[in-house]
Amino acid sequence: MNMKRIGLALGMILAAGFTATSASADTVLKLWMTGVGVDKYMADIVPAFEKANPGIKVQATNLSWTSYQQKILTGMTAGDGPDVFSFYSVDTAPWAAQKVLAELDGKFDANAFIPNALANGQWNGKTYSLPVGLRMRPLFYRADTLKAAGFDRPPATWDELRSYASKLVKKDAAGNIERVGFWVPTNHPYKTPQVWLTFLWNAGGEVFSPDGKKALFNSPAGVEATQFLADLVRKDKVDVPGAIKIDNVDFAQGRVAMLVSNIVTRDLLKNHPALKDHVGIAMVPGNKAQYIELSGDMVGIAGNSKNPDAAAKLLNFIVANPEIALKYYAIDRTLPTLKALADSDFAKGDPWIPTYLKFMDKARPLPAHPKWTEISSLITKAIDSVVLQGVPAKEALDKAAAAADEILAR
Amino acid sequence: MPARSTFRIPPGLLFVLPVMVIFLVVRVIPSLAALYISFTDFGGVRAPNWVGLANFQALAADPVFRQALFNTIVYTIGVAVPSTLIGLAVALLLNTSILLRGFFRTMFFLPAVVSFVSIAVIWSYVLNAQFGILNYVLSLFGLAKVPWLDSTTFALPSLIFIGVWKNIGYTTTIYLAAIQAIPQELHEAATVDGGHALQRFRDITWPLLRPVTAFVMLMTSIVAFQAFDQVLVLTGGGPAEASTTVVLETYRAAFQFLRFGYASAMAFALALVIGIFSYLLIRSANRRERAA
Repeated sequence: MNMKRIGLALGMILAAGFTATSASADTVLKLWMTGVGVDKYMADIVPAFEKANPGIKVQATNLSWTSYQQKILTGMTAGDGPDVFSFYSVDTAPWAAQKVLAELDGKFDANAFIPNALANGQWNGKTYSLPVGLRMRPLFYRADTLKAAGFDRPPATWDELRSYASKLVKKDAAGNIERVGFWVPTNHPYKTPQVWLTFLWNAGGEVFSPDGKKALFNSPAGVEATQFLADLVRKDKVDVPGAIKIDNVDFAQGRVAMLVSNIVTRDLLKNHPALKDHVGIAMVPGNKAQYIELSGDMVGIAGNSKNPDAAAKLLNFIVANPEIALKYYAIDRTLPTLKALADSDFAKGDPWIPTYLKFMDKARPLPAHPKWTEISSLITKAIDSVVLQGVPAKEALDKAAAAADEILAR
Repeated sequence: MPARSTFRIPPGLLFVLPVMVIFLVVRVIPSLAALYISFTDFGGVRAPNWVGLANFQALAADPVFRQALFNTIVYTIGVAVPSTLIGLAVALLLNTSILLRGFFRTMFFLPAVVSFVSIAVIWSYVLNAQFGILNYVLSLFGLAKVPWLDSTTFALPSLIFIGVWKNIGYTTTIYLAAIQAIPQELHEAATVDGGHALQRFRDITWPLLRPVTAFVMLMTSIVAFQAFDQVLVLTGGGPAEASTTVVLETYRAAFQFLRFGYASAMAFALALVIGIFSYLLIRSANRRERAA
């Protein structure tokens, strides 16, 4: 009797499941996007996409910046990952090399994007992800502090940077630092190597050889850049390692006068509107060259997506539709990626976007190399040993480059 | 009337079956899969290739892994021994009739129930070199500012200090329960015989707590061997890898460098170290117990 009842119940469940499956002939896409506030953004755009694309349903999941890599990789390994997902541009090359990302060439209109915006999604001459929000790393300065010290413009060269920082640093009677002149980030997995990177480029150096098979960052330019940053701390004492932890808060509260950061894209003006007239952005001071680092939030299609065509529609809806792209900007104040937005009233009305866009032709993406993250950890260790322990820059970088060459040969 | 089957599943087995199934599915099978992956070049998504012992050989030659293993062992000893000793001392104190005993018991246990990530964020403010409260307090006594989390000398000791602080609640609770289980008559008899407090501790409390001490040491050590959250939040393993741990390097190898095979090899190397350590600890505890 009991067995009969159980059998009947199981039969009904199966029948219900079968009916449900057969009724939903829709293509179902899984969209995983990363960041704070992105859940509301997805709740806003997904219905609009489904309305414009009958027959495609989207299941949205919000990931956090601290764990998106684990979630996406384990999800895909288990065959239960996303079709379309967002991530940071540093992952493009390694994920392209591992087929986590599908190739996108031919699936989007490159002309819709502002020049250089696509560079962060490319590896080995092919495109694997498209930008949804860019983050540039210029020199931020407290215009009020600079003015009080007698400077009417930001520093443009390394010599100027050094003399400005030496004047702007403020110490109490006991010698404790009250305001950092220029922030030299140490012991941070990405801020340390990314700030250093612009100084390396501006000294005329490169991280890798053009074929990507050899480390070049221990070149004289690499040594010069690293020693310059170390001297700011060790000789000029414009910064004390560890003084600055949360760069946007420290900057807003006046604990640092100048820094290279992408903080404006993380709500600086939204949280501190009074700062608008007291802060400025400029190109990172140059030496033999003058570049600026550009990275950002990217969207790609999973290499193992079973619905690549529908996924491409969703991807284009997110990144190439100006109206939708604006909604992403509204969450996190990232920079516009589309030509249509660069000339829009929204961009012209923003206090800083026109300045950012002027820097765009000098912008360079993070090294598009599958081993960059691993090698950047060696670079961070080398920078830490030079800045914190006084190891000669040449010695530390030679050691790191030798280890990097082993990784590249693997 | 058909003959009824005489086969019966023992009821005890039925009770443990759900746990056994869960254990098999979420522990044993993934561990075996990870063991297999440690012999491959698995990068996260593409099919893995068998590489034999290559990952383990690379591990032996990897200076970062050696540094991480050294730091992990220092961290484990640095956390487990003081946590155990201080936990015992606090438990002995809280077992007396001091004022606000309940309040103190709660206060000491509080860190044990808060997530390590939240604790780490709070400590990062306390330990900030320039604007942190600890250095401010030190400056009141005319002492120089110490870069607690930003120097190769102090980063690991700072992590050890926080680890001990978090563990004391747990070790105290275990010890307190064990102390209260010691028959009062033993203490009374010793007191009648003229034994003072120190003698009673040495000859009654301490020997009877020996199995508990081994247990507390073992549990705090196993947790310390797996230090991760606090390291990631507070120092990121730096500066210059001065505070990196094996689990942090395992995480980075897998999810940041996409070397899942290598990361699995690292995880198994750590499991081996923990296994050997646990075996030695248990064996030494058993020997002492037999000798006693």
